[in-house]
Amino acid sequence: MKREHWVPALSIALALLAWEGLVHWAAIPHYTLPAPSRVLATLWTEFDSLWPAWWFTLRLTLWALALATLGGVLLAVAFALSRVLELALLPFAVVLQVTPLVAIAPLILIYVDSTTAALLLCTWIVAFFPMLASTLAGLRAADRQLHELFTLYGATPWQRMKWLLLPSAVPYFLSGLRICGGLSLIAGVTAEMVAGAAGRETGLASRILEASFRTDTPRMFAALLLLVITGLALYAVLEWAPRRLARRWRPVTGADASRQA
Amino acid sequence: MNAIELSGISHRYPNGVQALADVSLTVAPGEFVTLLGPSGCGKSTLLRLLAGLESPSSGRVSAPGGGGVGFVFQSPTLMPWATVRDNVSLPLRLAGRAGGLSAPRMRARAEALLQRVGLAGFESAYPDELSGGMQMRASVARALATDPSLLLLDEPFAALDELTRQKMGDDLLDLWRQQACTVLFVTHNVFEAVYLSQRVLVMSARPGRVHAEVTIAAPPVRDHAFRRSAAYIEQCVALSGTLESALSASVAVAT
Repeated sequence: MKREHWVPALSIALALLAWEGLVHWAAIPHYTLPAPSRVLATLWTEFDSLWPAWWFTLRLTLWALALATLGGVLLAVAFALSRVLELALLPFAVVLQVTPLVAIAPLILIYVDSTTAALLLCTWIVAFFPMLASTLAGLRAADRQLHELFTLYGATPWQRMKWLLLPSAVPYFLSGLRICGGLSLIAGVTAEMVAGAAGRETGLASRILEASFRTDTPRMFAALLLLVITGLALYAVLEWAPRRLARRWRPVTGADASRQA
Repeated sequence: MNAIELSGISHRYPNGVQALADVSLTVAPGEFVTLLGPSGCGKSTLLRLLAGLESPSSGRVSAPGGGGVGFVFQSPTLMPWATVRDNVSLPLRLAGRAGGLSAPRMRARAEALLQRVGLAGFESAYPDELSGGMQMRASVARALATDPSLLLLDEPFAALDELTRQKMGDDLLDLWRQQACTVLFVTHNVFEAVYLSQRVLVMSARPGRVHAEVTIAAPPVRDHAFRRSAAYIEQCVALSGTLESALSASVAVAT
């Protein structure tokens, strides 16, 4: 096994062991700090109530990610084709981006009837801007001489978009997708915290809030663990799937970005 | 009827730099002419004007347009995400229906061009799998895709090692003979200029002007024997002298 794998695995295992040992040795009550073993046990016993919440959070995240990707890419393409459109719409995108989600979520919850739709809208607002920004940067990063080549042969705007700008933007798009995936989960959970929604159609954030009102710390940790696992899985998928799908495109690194600038 | 006709061309960039001052030149169909000069003499600008990538501040440019011109940049300028075949067929695909070729025929034409530049077997390779010289070959093949009557090359072999450069030069001469097109070649390399061209226009800088015109005497077929001949070396020495006087002319203007 490579050092890059076993060292982090070992350090995590040691940290968990130390945690477990500390809780038992110092006899810390579980409502203050539950041992990892207790968190796992809680996850198992509470699975029936946590599972639907997890599924709700995951769906919210994936929908927001999909809509943010779609919206971000379409807007970026529109901006790249029309400078006027960019000048007209970019201020709105920036305003949405700089406004803290927790500050506008209550307003959105008032205006939008369906809580689920409101949560989706909140999450989308946070996640779409990185997608727009990185895709737009990618569309603008196309090689200058390739641009001239397309000019030389009288390329139409659509040909230039299809064969030059979009392929050039793929590495930037993939970096944006990774940021966007993480943000979708974080924003989804944040929005739900603000919404403080209760009831059946709610996610892990609501479970954490409920558990916190009842000082059910092990349950809070169990929900937290599910969130962490979801975030890691999302990151892993967005990190590896594009590499498999598009070997010709490497995600941009700093060096590439500065070279292409 | 000339293949290229420039009369009284002056060009000033928006930043105020005078790139060209009163340049006039004509190139006959099928001629191989080289623009030789120090950096900053406007030789690349001249090519860009001919390709229609820039419009002159004043003067008249007459050159074939559209698919009639092939352009080879200093760097291979290939799309890294596309196969060599797709890179070479790009000008045909951009011409689309107007070009009158179906997709399979574009493909076949690209493959035939790759064979001609010595890249048979690399059709499905990606640019980063090729050496610098091979990438340049692909770039030349792409410039030939539309069967242009005028081929413009902007220091295409400057980044290659000496042996590769010589081989590329020989192959370019072969292509020129087969294609029967007009070639305008930009370089700052005296030896390359003498070996390849029928006529050399020596340019001086700041602002760019044609300083001298030199006709190269050479046997009909240029090969290694020509490269070692006394006539070749004498002309290289003479052209170096002309280039030096062009350089001092540039300095005299600049100071």
